[in-house]
Amino acid sequence: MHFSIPSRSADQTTLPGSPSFKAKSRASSYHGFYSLSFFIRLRSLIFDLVTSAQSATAPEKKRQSARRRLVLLTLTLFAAVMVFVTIMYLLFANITTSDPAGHHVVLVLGLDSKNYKEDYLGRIVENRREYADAQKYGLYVRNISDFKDMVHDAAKPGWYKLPLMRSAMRDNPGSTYFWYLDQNAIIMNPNLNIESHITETKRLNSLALRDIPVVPPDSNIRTYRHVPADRMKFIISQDHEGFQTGSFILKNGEYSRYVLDAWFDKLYQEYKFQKDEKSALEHLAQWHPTVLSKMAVIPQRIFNAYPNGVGDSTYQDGDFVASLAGCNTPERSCVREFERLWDNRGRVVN
Amino acid sequence: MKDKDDYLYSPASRTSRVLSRLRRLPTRLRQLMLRRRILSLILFVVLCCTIVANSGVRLLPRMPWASSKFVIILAVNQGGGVMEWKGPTEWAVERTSIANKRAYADRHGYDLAIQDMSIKKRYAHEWRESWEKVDVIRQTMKQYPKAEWFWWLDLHTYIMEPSISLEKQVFNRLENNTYRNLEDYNPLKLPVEIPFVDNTHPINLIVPQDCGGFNLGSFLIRRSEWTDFLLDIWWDPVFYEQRHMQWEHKEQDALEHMYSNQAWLRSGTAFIPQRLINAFPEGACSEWRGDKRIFYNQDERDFVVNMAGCEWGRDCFGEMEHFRKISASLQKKSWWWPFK
Repeated sequence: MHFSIPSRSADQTTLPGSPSFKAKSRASSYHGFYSLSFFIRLRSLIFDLVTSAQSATAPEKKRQSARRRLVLLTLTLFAAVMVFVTIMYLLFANITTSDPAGHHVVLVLGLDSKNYKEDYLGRIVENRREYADAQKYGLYVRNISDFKDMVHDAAKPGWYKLPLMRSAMRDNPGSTYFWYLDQNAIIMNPNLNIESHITETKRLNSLALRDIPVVPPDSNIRTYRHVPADRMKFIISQDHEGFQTGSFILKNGEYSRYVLDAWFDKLYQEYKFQKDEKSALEHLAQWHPTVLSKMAVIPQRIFNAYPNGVGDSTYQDGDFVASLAGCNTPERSCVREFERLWDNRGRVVN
Repeated sequence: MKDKDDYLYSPASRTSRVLSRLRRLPTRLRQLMLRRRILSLILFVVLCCTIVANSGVRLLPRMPWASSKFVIILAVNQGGGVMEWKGPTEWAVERTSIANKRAYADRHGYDLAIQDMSIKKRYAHEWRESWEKVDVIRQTMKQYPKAEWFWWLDLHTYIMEPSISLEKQVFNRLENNTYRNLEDYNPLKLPVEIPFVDNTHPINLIVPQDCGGFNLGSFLIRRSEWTDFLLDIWWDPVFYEQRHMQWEHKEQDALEHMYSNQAWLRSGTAFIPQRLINAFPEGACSEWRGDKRIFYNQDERDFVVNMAGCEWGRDCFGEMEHFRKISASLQKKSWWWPFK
């Protein structure tokens, strides 16, 4: 089927101010896929079809109307095809390309076998394994000594978690969320599900603390007020000093790789920050809006409560995680505190 | 037979008849213009437009449908005459460079963004003082929201072969034209392998390497989320504080540092052989004379010459004129060209 685009005839004046007028005086190269002349010819075709009915004679009218019907039919068919294609696309575009064998959430655990006894570490792993099996999550356990050559100063334990997380993300390309939980912490309530408890959009929106200083009590830079929760890719909490990096969630993607690599940069490790990777993260969040804009700061009790803390961050029965952060100082004893909490922990309710 | 008295001016001879018609011409013209008011107004507007268009001044703002996928960012007015006097040779070099890029951009339908790089003298070590390239790129990306690739060109560059488009030179066979790792050519001896690099990542930054490392005199950068991250992390006060004394080339050295340390950046960066978009004249990289990978080769008709470092010890004006003449002579077509 072929219909010809009518050439500009004598009675069709180029109206002043129309694009065709300017097109004549412009250079011949066109930049877009459809040039302006294409649209002009299309327009004149439609114009011609619309006005032809009024000025045609009887047999011409019949020919014109037949031609018009043919054109209308083609256009309707084209529109139907486009609608069909759009519907198919909308229906099937949500098929995620992630590996179906990958877990939706992966727990990441780094074990310090140099400073802690085997049975202690064994019970920590058992705690994580119980939770991961109950919720059908993945578990990624490594010795932090594997990453000894990557860190600048092996004596600072805080930096190991970054290559560990990066390694977890590389080894689990199909997973969406990666939850790093420090070795010295216990999951006290294994019945809580990460999606409904933290990462689901509405829940995250209600949890995210907006407009709070990045470094308490009163840094100038504050968390964003209007970023929607579905754009948040880095979920972390704050204690009274600053970011608490013992427990954080990263969503798989370009942003997480960027944050982990930038955070782990050699110059940050060499800089002698006061609190190592915690201060480095605070620095990143204050100086680089691309990092802060996708961070969600949530209340500490949600996934990192302190059993002997003060105020809002104190652990209460039924809370998700009890953190033993800072327990390897002389005044405290990780093992003793652990024993006390271990017996009180919640069990899986089927 | 008409009376003589009916005529005001009796048409005695042909000359006087012609003269009288000529005399009536302005009135005739005026009457015609009054009768066809709209048409004459249109013609007048067209006349003005033609004059303005041919003078090079942009009349209309850039129309959104006319924007191109490629934008050439030309960095001019380096220093702005603040630290050194800008004499007639500097002005001439600038004129030649701009005209060359404008002709190239017009020929291929690319946009040309001429960005001013004058030094804004503030307090010493005020942040971002030396990383202007990053800010300029970000600003240009905002100005050209539809463009995908941005080609940064320093002032002292010359496009020798204006008939070659960027698609033909680089992008049509991007995988073949670029290399993703430092195994073959590593002039700065950066670490060849670092953990967690993803080689299948799409390319967002195409950088040439010269004899001393990355060369940011002529490089390509793509609009993407990755690029937003790069442009944000490129300047950091902790990096600056520790290294600004060692980093002579500022953002170039910062990029080399980040390339050595951050895997996400390595994943999105590709290198291009220098002679494809950044050939050097004989004066630059003089210790590596004779190296086939670096210097401009007239027989192979290299695309762009970057007279890097000509403002320190060499003659920028002389080199620019030299290459301009070479380019003009190469573009001249002999009479037997159609039969070649």
